[in-house]
Amino acid sequence: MEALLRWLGVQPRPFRALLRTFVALDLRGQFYGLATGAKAGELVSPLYWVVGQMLTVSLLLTALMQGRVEAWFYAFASLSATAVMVFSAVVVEFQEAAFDPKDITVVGHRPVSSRTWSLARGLNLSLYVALIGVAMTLFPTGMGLGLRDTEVRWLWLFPWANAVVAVGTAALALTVYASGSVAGPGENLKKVAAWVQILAIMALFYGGQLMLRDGSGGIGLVPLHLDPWVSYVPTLPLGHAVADGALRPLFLGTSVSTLLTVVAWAALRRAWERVSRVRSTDREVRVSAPPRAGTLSRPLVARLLGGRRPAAVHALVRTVLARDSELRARLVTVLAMPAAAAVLGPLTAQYAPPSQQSTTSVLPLATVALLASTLPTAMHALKASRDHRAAWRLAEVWGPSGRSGARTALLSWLYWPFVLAHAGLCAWWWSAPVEAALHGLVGLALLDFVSRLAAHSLWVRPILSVPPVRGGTLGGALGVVAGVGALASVLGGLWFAVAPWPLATAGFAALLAVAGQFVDREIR
Amino acid sequence: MSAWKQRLRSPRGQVQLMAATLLGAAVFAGALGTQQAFFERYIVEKPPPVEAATRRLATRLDGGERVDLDSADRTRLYELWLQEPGSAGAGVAQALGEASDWLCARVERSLVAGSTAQRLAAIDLAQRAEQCTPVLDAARERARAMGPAEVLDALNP
Amino acid sequence: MNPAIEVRGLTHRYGDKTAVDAVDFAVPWGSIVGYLGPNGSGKTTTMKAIAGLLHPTEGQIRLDGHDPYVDGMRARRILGFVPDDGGLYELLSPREHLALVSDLHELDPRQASTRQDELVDAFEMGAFLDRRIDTLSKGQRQRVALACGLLHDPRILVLDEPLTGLDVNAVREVRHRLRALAEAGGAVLYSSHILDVVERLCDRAVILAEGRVVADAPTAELARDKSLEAAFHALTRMDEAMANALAEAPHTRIGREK
Repeated sequence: MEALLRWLGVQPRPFRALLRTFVALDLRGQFYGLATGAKAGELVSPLYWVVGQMLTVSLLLTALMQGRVEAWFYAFASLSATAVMVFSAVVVEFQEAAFDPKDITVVGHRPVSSRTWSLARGLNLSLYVALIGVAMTLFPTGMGLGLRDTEVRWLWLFPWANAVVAVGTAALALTVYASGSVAGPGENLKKVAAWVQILAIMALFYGGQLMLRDGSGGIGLVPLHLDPWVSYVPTLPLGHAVADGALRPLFLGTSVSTLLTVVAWAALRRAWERVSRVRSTDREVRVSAPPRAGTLSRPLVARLLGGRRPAAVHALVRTVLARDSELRARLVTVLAMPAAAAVLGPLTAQYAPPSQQSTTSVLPLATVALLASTLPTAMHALKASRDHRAAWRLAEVWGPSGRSGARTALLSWLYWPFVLAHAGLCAWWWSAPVEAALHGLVGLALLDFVSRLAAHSLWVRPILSVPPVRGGTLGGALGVVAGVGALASVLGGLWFAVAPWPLATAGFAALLAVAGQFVDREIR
Repeated sequence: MSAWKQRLRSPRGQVQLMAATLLGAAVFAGALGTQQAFFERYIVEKPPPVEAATRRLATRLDGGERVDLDSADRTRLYELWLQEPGSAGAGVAQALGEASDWLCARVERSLVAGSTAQRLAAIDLAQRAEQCTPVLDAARERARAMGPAEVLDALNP
Repeated sequence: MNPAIEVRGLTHRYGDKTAVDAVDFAVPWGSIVGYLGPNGSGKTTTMKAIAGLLHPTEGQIRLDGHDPYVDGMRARRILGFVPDDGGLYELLSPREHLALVSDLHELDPRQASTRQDELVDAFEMGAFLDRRIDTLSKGQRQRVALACGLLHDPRILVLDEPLTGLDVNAVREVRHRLRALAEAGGAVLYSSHILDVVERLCDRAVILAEGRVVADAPTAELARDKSLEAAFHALTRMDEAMANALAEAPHTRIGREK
């Protein structure tokens, strides 16, 4: 081993020390948390959640396809999922697993050759890719072996193909980023890639339900009508090779992956040399221009919100929402359910107007009720965010005016647009603009009432409350969140009861508005 | 912090946790792989119950009467055919076969999303209509790979 | 004999901003040179360029005659560098970090262990040797950074603000070690804002203002009339009268000319 390393021009002892250090940093680091929302203080490392995420994706995907598609498509889809997940993972973790800028100030002035560093980083990245690859292999291999059209050879052919795809994809991503921009992927791209992982799970979870529920055999029909461009996707011949036991494409794939790996290593090494010689570590970090805090504290906004203080908090919340990506991740997670209902409802013909009071007319109303029930969670996530200094400031000003500003900011930036867009969708889908407008009006009133109640309840420290877990969604406010959420659902039920009568529905909205004012006055 | 938590948070503990999870997933995946019948039980079309009017329409068609069918009628008749094989006859098959594109697409769907009995019924209908040969050829190829044997037998000339 | 550190015509630009502009100075063997300047005057840029972390736009750097960008391995073997941010992996413990440095320099394990024990004692690191660096105070981190910079017993030491956060005992220890290194024939380039330490410790001082050298003189000469602090203030704010008075001192270079 030592001789091989020396032959490669690598210093064995520094190489081993660096690799050991990088692995320790991986296991202790929080940087794998971007796609998982995991935080410091949690018992298991974010890396563990990444592995869990990959296992979940592959389990959902394979369970969805089980018995419904032929082995070649089963392999093709699983291999493609591996490619997408590995690519997004490498992009997200590029700066840490492949190119940590800290390396320069720690290692750059020590007598370590670029080959030594790049091989250690490359191997470290390989371990990461291997971990993801294995997590994406287990379910397709084990469950795929049970398909009617697979044989025992599947047991080694699929993992082989999956390894080819994982290594090839990682090497490709690394080559692209190491040779293009030494700074690695931009923050926005990293966020997009992190979202790919989150959305893959959501799409598989909700989309899977859709496919299983609609009974039209959508997934079984997909392989029968593949678009022509799919034949150019490299995982397709590999999928066929796994199913047919054809070794030639697998050997070819292995050769290409190996070649890409060598190219990636060379690219990484060159990037290191370039960075350590040309670029400084204090290179400019580009951050998209955040909205100016305070823009909304202008007199008009202050008058609308009832004072400069709530207007300032409004602006502060807007800033937090714009800058705290992890908070946004948590908010989108809670908003995913109503969003999925709004998408799946029309697609599965369960989106009739509530006035019809049939089983297919529940969802348009449930969507808004679900949305309202997420308000306490969203508000708590905002208040409990520890990821931005502004959030600390927000926690300090969570008094009456602070609550008011935070509430209106959340509503105006997230919830009102949702309800208005939803009303637009209903108007189009039902071809009944008046009923849709009324629907939107009740939705706004429901949000108004629930948001006031949630803002006040979360301020009054709930019984049994504990400081929120860092990065947690609920922390100690579980009781309030569950209580207000349940009330929102009950109100949704009442709404459904009065839905056939437009006047009663309008009265219900007015009642909610009055109740909101009552809550504000009494609790204040 | 308790000793086991401290151990779990160490790099060695994290590696062990990860290895245990992957091992558990491998065992679970292997166990699921033996439960093919469980998954296949959920591959079935679930049409609504047949209405009396649909039965009356089928009787009229089988009696040789010519009826102008709209899309909803065709769907209901097809679902009758799937759910109660034998309760409709040549008249219904002929009437459905007149909309051959629609019928072939619908049969194709049943051949991937239906239970074995539903697939057999769909094949029977498509063979009577004699217009969906490409769909049946593709289904034969698929059945050669995936079975079940009854479907392959029904598809073989 | 080559000087320990030789900087000739060093210029570095970040985009259209010139951070250091035609900087010349040398650090002879057996001396400690203070590298002073207001915030943003280009000290850190110079130090990074000397450590091989930042290729200068123009100019030459030599460490005992070796160019860190051509003959980097040799230059880096004799160099000890403590950057302003400490240059530490914060998720490691001090013990792990010292072991890493020992391995990166391929030190003899027994000698490294003895040296490590000595540094741990000297900087009083025993109490936090196995805690993660990200849980340590600023002063404790700085001690770890200094120990990592000194572990391989470098002949040339470049320190960027090494006393930040240190308590009195640690400051005394650093001063003692730097003096010992210089007396043993080594060389130190030392950047700091704590001018009384510089005045007592350094043989010469190079003062930067807006990226240019405004003084390169023996510390004693600069502090001759009042104090180093007064000279620093006059030179960086260009108090003409005092600058002219200083310019008459022997071995002294004053002015902003390129």
